[in-house]
Amino acid sequence: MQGIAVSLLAFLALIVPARSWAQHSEAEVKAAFIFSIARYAEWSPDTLPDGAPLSLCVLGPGESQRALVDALGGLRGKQLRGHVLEVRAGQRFAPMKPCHITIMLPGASEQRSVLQDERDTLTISDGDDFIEKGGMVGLVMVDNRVQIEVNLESTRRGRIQLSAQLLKLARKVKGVS
Amino acid sequence: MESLIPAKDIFPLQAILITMLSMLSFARKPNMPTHSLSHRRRVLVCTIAWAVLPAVAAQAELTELSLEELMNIEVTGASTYVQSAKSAPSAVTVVSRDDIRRFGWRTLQELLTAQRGFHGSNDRTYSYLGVRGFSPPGDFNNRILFLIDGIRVNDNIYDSVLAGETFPLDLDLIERVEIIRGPGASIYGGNALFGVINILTRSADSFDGGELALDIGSQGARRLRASAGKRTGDAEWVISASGFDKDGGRYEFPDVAAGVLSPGGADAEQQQRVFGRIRLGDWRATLIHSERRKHVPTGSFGTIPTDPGHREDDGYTLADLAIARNVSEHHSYNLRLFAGQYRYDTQLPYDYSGEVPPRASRLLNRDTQRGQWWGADGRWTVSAWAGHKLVAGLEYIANTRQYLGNRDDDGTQYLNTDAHSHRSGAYLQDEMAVADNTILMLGVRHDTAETGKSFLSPRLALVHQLDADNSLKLLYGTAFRSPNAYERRYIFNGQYGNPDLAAETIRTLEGVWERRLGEGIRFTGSLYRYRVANAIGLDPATGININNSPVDAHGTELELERRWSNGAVLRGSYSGQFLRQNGQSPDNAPGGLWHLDAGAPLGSRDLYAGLGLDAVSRRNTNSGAASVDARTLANLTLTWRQTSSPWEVSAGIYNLFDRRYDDPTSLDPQLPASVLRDRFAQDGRQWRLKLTGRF
Repeated sequence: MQGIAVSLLAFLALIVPARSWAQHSEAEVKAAFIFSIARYAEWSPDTLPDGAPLSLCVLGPGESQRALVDALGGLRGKQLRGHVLEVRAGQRFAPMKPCHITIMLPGASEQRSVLQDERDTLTISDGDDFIEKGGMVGLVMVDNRVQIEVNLESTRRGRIQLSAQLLKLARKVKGVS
Repeated sequence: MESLIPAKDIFPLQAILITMLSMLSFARKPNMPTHSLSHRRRVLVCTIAWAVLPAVAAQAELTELSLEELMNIEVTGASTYVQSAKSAPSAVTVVSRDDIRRFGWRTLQELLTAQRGFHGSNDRTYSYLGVRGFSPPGDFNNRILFLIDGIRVNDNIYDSVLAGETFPLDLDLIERVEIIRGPGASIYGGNALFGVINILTRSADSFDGGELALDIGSQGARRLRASAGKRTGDAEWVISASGFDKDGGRYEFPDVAAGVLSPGGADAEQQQRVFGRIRLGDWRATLIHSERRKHVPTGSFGTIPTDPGHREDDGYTLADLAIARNVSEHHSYNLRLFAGQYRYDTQLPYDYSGEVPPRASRLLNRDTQRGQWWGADGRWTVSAWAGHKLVAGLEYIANTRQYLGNRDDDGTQYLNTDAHSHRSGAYLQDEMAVADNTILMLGVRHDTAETGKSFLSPRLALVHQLDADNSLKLLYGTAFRSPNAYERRYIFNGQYGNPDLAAETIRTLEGVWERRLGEGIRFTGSLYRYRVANAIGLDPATGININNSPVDAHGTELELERRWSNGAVLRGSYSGQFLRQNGQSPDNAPGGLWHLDAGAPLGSRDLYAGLGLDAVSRRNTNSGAASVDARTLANLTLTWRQTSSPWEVSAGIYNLFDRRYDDPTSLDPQLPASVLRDRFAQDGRQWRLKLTGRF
């Protein structure tokens, strides 16, 4: 018993000072991902002139994803390459426009039409098979970690430029020409 | 009945830990007062308490991290299944693939016996599980229901499945294990007395190509596994095959052959497993096949001790076709069609030279059992009415074969009996949101067992969310276990099946308190009592299966867990249980169980160390006339894994301090009367080295 106690103590001594261990919820990490992905994206200058605010729209019924909507709200006012981030949420797309980034929540009724018809908006979602459905960036959970998937056909059609650095980090890239 | 809900006062973390750890010391020295912690132990307690105190270090601003750094952050809580575990009408434990990897469990038995409230025993034929102190020796896990992706694994001869190498699924194929404690009969019917072990297999995405794993270990153990899986749009497939071989060693069994060391190869074991699954849209087809061959060196059933010819082999084949469809937002259904086979083949070398008239001094006796079944079930889930979630289901199982045979190689037939039977069940469950923060779940299932008898199994659960961090659950349920084919009909050599056995039943009342003590820190405490009536077991005096006197039990389970986003985890649990049967503690019913899992990345995040401690208090054996000592075991696993590398290496040491300990065993009516066998010595230190590659 004593041997075990001592070995456990030694074990803890080994692991405890390693680093500060913060904990993050899935929603917080996903929100930070979305912010980080925006750093690697470029919009055409006519839709995002210098100094103009960058708007992030959250589309869909928020009740089921309260935590994510709250975490995204926390990004409001942050600076991104000289643009101030605005965050809007709603069930319908048109009243929220312009949307430089659109976060599709599961169950968003306009998902299909937005993915088919809208241009100049970077679409991101953690829904199932998002890039297969025509979305641009999908967030997927692998081994309790968030990973990204990218559909280049969709970004080309939607006139969004994603940097090669982002593509290198993606777990899956669809539509490489 | 007095309230089973824990007091509303919040225990300080330290108090819980000190209690848990002082109980740990209590395990070894029963007379030691709990407050006299040694200095060394006090240091340990303080260290742990410090480690679990909420992080004071400022949290890094997430948005300042690079994408690469974000990708390495492990997410805690808030994922869908943890959410559902919180509001689940049971005390649930979820074990993930990460945990399996990090703590180096080799079998499902090792995984489960590391969980709160579980303990195990082994008699060198099989490994057995006990839950909440209930584990009469000779019980074959027939009070726990095992499901693989919803497929019932328990066979139709013993209504059980053993969780050691006998279990038909490789541990490496498991995505997660959900342990749902308490009676599960209101949905699952028979055998779910102490809980349901729901195993979910890995998706094709988790392979996305091929995977090869090779491991070697003590006693010449070696295992090779080849798996592959791929998803294309709405279709996916997974296939896997593995082989395991263990050479065994040399053993002495002084109770049957004092001073005789067995030839090499004693305790040898082989296992082959095949798993395949195809999913096309809503349809899924699964095939699981396994064969386990085991040399039994113990001379059990009165065979010639250490004879290399004593073998006991088990095999399972399970096939399942299922469809899961969402008809609309509020309606969904699952339909399944399944078939299974269980095979048991044993050869027992006997010395018949002492018989009158004398026969051969070594003759093989063969015990053959075959179970075959098919069935179908359907389940509808409706959430069309606000505040209600209704689940209704039907299940039917036809046992087309329940064969028991026993004969000597010279042609003497002792047993040759087959049977057909069927069982069916219908159930209804409603989950009602009676208030914003309160869910009331009422469920009931009606079963017609294979004996023709009917059972009604109700379940009631009240889940109350006190605030964002605290939830209370009050649970009541009953479950039953119909006597299995073996208990009713197996007759051989001093052991008598009993067709008149009544079903065993359990009634459980439980209160659970779950508390979140900050990001990544979770406390679960429960108080319960249960009564097992008509417990089926072998009467030591006559060798006849009988319904024993009831077992009354009450107990508590406490668990504290902290997870860090770099993958570190610290989890400790204590389970105390008090069982009484005929005024005394039944055999193999420990009063206390302690588990501690500590894991963390070492230096770089590529290397991970996992330490597991398991302690089991003293256990009675031989109907309470003797006991086996308390024991504490430690396992240490080091895993090297780099996100960018296709290779993963893991090294494990089991029973790190080479503890010598015994497990209680069941009465063996076929041993000579002069032999007292009430325990088996267990293995000392072992090791395993494992290499996994993906391509």
